[in-house]
Amino acid sequence: MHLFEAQPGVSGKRDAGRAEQRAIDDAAIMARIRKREEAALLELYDRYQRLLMALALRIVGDRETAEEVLQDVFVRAWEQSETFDEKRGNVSAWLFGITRNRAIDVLRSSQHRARNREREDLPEHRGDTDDLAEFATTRVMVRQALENLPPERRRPLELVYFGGLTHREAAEALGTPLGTTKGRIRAAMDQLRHILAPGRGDAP
Amino acid sequence: MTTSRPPLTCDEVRDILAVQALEGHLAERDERVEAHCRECEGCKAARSDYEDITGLLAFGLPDAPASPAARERLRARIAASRAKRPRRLPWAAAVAAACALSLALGVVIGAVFWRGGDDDPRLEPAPSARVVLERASDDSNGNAWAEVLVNSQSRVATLLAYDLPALPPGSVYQFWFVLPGGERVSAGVLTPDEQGRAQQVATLPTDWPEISGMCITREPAPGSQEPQGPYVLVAWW
Repeated sequence: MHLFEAQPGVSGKRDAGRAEQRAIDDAAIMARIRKREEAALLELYDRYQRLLMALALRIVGDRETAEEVLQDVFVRAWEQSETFDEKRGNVSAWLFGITRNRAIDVLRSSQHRARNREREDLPEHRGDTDDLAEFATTRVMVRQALENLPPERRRPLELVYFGGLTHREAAEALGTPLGTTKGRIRAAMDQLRHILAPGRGDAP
Repeated sequence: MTTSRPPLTCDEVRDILAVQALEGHLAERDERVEAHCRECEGCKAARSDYEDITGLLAFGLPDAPASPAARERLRARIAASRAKRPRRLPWAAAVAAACALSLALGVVIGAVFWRGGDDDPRLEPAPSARVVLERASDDSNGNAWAEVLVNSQSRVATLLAYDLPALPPGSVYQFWFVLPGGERVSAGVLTPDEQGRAQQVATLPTDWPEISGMCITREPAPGSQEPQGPYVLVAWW
């Protein structure tokens, strides 16, 4: 079960239904990609390029490199579609994982060492016109969840996830003890877990 | 030895799991964590949730669409990955070497027209022509070669160049279309990567049948209005 399926609130069922439908659609697209259908790859690209580009851009910091990352991600999705295992997660998580890993490899191989990069906080993003209606509810929820994190938790989380640092490097960058950094990351993840997956994250 | 270290508590394991989920492929793996998760349903569920949350974080970012050209480049790369690199014909190489600076050097191996990609009617129209650019001379351009995938309907040409030799500072590679009267129209300056690969998406200056050649030249930075430098790769027909 995926977190999308556990959203609370009035629109929860509808959102869960959308998410479920999206997962089914994505799986169908992946099946077509495995059959070497180029149109399916472009369909997947059209569906996710904005989100993946946003992630790549956030990590590598410039559009040109981010687009190269995006290219590599979809070429890999095309050439290594057999490595996608539905049982281990959905297509979007798979794509995000490839994108992030690739972007971090690029970032860390460049002369711009991640730990020396100045990072902006996540931009405020209220009231924008979001043409990805399919993802709108999820995006609002995630943004709110991130904004609700206390800065001391949010900062190390962002440095590791978007900055491409290890938690040790994040601790160095922030000047906080390793154990403290690790604890704050865990606290941030638990807080997100509580908000985005209520009822799931409380097992001792 | 990991066997001599004390087992981890759930609290310790979850600290590690949260970090591992965020670090992705950079994360260090710890066999004690793996062993713990094999036995502990709570921590196994926590790992699953942390990984799901990690997959959601990018949804918090503002929208950032890629450029339209990026889609075309992807399409071209996929098409290129399906097409095998054509073998260089011996006579073509000989002609190219003999006529180094002549525009007659262009050897069109491509201009291979294909439609629809295989026989699957669901496919979008594939590039309607593929042109291979050969070296204009064999002395200084190494193994450089390039292919251009042309979509005549959208009038978009996608150049994929390979093994371009590194240039001295102050020089750039520039891509040109050639019109029937001999006029060259710049299709942009190339930015090769460390492996000498470069991509360029350009709009055809006229209808595809009106194009009579393509070439890559070496120009003084930041590029020229008309070709001034030596020809590096050419295709004429």
